[in-house]
Amino acid sequence: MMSVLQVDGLHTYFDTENGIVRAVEGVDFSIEPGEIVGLVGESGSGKSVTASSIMNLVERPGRIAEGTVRYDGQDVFDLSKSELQDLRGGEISMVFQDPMNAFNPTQTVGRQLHDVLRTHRNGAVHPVKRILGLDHDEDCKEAVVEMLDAVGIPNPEARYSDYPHEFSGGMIQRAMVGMALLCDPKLVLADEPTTGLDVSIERQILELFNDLVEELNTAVLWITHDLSVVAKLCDRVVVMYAGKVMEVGPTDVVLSDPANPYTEALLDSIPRYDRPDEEIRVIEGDVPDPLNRPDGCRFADRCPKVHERCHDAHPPQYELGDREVACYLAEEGTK
Amino acid sequence: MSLVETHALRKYFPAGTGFVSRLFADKKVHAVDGVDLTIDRGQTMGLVGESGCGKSTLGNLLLRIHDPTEGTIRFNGTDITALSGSELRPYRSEMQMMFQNPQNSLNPKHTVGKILRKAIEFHDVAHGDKATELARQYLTEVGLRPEHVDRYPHEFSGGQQQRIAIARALSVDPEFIVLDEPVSALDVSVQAKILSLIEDLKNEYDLTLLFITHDLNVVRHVCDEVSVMYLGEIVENASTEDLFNDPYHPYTRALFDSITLPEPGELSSGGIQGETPSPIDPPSGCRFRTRCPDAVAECETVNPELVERERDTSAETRDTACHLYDPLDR
Repeated sequence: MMSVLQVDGLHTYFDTENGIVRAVEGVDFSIEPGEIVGLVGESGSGKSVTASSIMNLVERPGRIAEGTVRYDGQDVFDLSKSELQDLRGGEISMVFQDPMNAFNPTQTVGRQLHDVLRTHRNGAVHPVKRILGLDHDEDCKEAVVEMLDAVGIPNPEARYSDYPHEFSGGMIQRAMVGMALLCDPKLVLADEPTTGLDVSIERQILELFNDLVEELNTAVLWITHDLSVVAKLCDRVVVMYAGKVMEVGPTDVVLSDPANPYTEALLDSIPRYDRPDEEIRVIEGDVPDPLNRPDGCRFADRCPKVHERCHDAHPPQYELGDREVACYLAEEGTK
Repeated sequence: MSLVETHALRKYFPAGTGFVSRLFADKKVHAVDGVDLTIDRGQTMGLVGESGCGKSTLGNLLLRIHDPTEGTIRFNGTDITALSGSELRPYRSEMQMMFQNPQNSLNPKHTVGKILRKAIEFHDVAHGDKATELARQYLTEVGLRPEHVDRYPHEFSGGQQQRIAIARALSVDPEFIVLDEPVSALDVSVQAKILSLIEDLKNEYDLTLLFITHDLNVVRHVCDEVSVMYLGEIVENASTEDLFNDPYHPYTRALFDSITLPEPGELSSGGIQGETPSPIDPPSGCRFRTRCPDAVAECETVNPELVERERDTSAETRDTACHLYDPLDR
């Protein structure tokens, strides 16, 4: 079976006055149909730049320096502008962290969903028709109301003509999820969609995603800094640090028995209410300066299990069971 | 002995967006609605609840950033509810605040040295070169370097900026600090460092803290006592250990069911259904009844008071506002 998304050797650089910032330095992973993959990392790890690169949305001074992103076997970087336009929002859609900013505040939510669907079904509408309000499509409206209902918005018929500010935080995020799933996408990129929401609302959105993805067989790349969300939602997880992938594998294996010392340190630094007597472990040191990263393993300076060879070169991805680990310890199989 | 004490504290904001509609509004946002809170000296009190429950407003009220609509605030035995600006000034240096987002609370046009010096000089702790010397000293205390006084806030990472905010709060030698979501905007690895710094400084300077957060995992690790807030009211108050071992109030229980851990597995059922009702027109009776799985008829008419209550099955008692438990006879 062909992967929905195949990222190979992706390098994305930003040319700045002070030098080249290597935001993403060799990222490889794939997503299979119907799979939810978590892309985890702290700020500055390159996870969001990876997402923009997948959509070919990196703007100057950023550039894709190397690598390929294949969507359904087709190289995204070879596509023309209009082909990309069809892909975005149609086959690949996005859910953002802040839905209030993603929606246009001057148009009703229903109208915005309607326009997305209409554009992808029938192509763009002539501006004159648009101004005269002749671009309305009853079938699209019906589909939108159905979708609002499916994502759990009560009384969808009436809510169709409400403006974004009339929705609560949880409801507008539901509408955003509805918009992303409207054109029956094969892949959804979700960038921190539950960050900033209350735990009870977060949980409702996670449940919603779980159910819808299962039903529609959509693949999801879930970008987050929150390993607790990954634990409950994702089939596989990609852990990034300073532009590199540190560990890729099935969520249950990676989180219960991390093979990369970085993954382990990250898990240990999360406070847990069920372990009150365990001290929260601190990762010593800071994330390396992106302009001046070490030659060796990116994590070597902070790693409690560092060896001499770690300072020579960043380790390649070693296969360890059904995961890949960028750590020399994984090569020796001792971890 | 208690350092901060509030009695029947209320804060209503006029509802409406324009000046005129605000002036004539008869609708009010019940942000804080009758809160009795006692924080003992040397204690770290956790204040938890979902967004919009009024926890930040309560923090602001304690420091008199907002003026209360009703009720009293006592600090160190003195009623500070009605003190004017100049009368309040000696108390200001005793009470400090630290916010969630250091980008917004540190002036980008001032060097770190000036940011600290302004606080130190305003509160007459020291002046001139002595103030600068103190600024350097406090930067070292929070794990930065003394020469950082000449740098600007944007030259620091989020975690370091939060350290600067801590240094500023400490620099006027306060007794009480309100920390409003101090680590929510930070990465977990940085969060762990800031939490341990707060813990160390608290012991070193004998501070009393009010730790406002929505993260119950953090609360378990840093707080001695916890108050749970829902829609402007405190619904349960207990020592951290008791609360986590055995939550009484249905809202506290539901909050605990919603905590996620980085442990692989299915999303367990549970959690709170629906959304928080509007604080403009809160439900009659108990405010949680519209989402409560255990609501009975009485909950609709009588709002339960936050008093010591007992349950049939155990000898222990708890300060909670719920009809499921009988108040102790006094």
